[in-house]
Amino acid sequence: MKGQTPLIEVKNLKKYFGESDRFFKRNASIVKAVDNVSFSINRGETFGLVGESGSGKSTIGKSILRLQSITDGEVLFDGKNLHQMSKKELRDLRPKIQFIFQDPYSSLNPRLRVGDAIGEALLDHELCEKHVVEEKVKEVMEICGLSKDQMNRYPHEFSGGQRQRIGIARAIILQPDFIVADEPVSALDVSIQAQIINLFSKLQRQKNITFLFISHDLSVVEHLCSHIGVLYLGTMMELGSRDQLYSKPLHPYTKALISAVPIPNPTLKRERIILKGDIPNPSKPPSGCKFHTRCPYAIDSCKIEVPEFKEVEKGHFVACHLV
Amino acid sequence: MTTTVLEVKNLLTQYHTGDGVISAVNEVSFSIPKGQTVCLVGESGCGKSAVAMSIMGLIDPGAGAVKNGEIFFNRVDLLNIKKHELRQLRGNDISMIFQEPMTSLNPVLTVGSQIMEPIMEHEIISKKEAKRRALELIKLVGIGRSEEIFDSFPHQLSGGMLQRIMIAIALSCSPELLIADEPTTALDVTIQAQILDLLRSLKEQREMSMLLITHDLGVVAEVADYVIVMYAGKVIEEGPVVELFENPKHPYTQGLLKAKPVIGQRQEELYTIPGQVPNLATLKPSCFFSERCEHCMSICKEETPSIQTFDNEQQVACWLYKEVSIV
Repeated sequence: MKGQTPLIEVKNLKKYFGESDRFFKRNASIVKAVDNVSFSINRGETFGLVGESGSGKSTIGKSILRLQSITDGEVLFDGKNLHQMSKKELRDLRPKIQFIFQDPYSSLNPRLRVGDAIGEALLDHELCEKHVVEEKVKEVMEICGLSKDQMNRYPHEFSGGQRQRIGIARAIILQPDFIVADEPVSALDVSIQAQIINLFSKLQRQKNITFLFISHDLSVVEHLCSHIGVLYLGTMMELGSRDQLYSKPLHPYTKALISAVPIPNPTLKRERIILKGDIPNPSKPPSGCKFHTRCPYAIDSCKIEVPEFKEVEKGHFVACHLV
Repeated sequence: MTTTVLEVKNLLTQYHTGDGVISAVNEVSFSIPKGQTVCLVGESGCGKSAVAMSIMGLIDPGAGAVKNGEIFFNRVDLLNIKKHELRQLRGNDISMIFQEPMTSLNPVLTVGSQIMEPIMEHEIISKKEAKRRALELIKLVGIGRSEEIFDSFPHQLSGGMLQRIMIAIALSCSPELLIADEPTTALDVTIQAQILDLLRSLKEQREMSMLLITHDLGVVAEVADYVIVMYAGKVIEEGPVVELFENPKHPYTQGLLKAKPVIGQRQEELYTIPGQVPNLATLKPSCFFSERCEHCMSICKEETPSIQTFDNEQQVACWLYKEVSIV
């Protein structure tokens, strides 16, 4: 089923903050949260976006679904430019593009029974008759591992993992083509995390949904995603298939990220790259390659020239002078 | 022989909740030898933080209390000493780092004055000398520009920097025991690697003992000498780190290790532990993991298994192994 036509194409996406509100602008500096990012996601694929906090992962996720405006660039959904659609067109498209949030506690209305919360969007978009909503709600609840007699309960009666299941049920009841999942398992315990990850794999297999999976956890991303993009300060540093990225990472930042993940094996000895310092202030990003301040291999030209984002082998892109 | 720094015996800490009294820490015993790192592992609500709070005497008397058991720090009974004696120990001989560096520092005081505070409190020392020590500590935890950082306020620093400051404060009086409650959970992986590296080298330099509380088995494998796994307030398995990871005995420990996706090891599907953590208020005598255990037997639902020691120092509380030993 995995066709090679991209469902989502992101072209030179830019999102700058601090530009438009002239009134407060006196000393305001522009934060380039997303700076010239391009990638595409094929139908049925899961694309992973990784990076430290402040790298612009969530901003990209929100921009793609037009939950916020963009400064420049294009987002194409099935060939149509999402950011040039009229309100009406966008509203008609909304059921096809869905979002799953990180925090299952704050993304549910505490006064809405979960059955109603899950079915809400169906009624809103007038996708089915009122009397069949309940049936559909029960169906997705079951798919998501919730028991259907829980539909009259309120969110506070559920645990974190169950609430994330509710969030997923809310998204998939609309039978979307594309889901952006922003750190959907980060707030969960290990045993629950595994359950939700398996639920995602099941949805991938059974529903042929295309995912953009945003996470800082590289082990989870490796498990779920077929293609991965590594972000640093709003810029894509490396992009490639899972095998390319994990077996032979080329960018020093990708290498450092992978080697920083603790592995549950106390006898394992491996070489680790420990990065110095923190991610720099995004309003004053370093010149040249943004990563040069923390890069253990930086050479002089890294400080001056911005490295080109070039294709080193088919589908494997990297922005580094040393490659 | 190695001396024991901390010894906890049959600790029972209970909280009052809307559902009734719950035993957040249920008959927990362990000890920390000098210079060793002991890790307490478990999921949220298993009581690992409550253990730390009980040791520090920080359980909110309105919410709960230590009901039974003994805690000895260098043979001093922490549960039966006077308040001012405990204050002398806390921050001086035992100190603690919390999960959220952002909320554990006072936002209106400079970082420097907060590092100086415990030094001035516990030692007779001039302000000038205390400042010199504070600057040294800032350098020790790996922050350059110590003068500049000394005068900055918490909101001006990043999470990783603040956690370093917290560590500096904790180390200010050269404690014998450092309790770290999820010290890297709120941080990025790259920063986590820095902090773990720092804790490891500090431990070696200073022969400090450490009680590290975490839910991340990866972190445990990197820093622990000895591991204690908790579930629903009880210790269900413990042992030296290599033995425990290579040969986990309790079904819960096995499940936790299998459920975690590991970099470089791809699986079609992750192992899952079905169900979720039980409500502590409604527990009856049984193995608390029995409802989620795939090896559950009838005895598991009737009696709580006691902890049993194997020859390689591994200890486990599970009926599966009791039977084996009887046969």
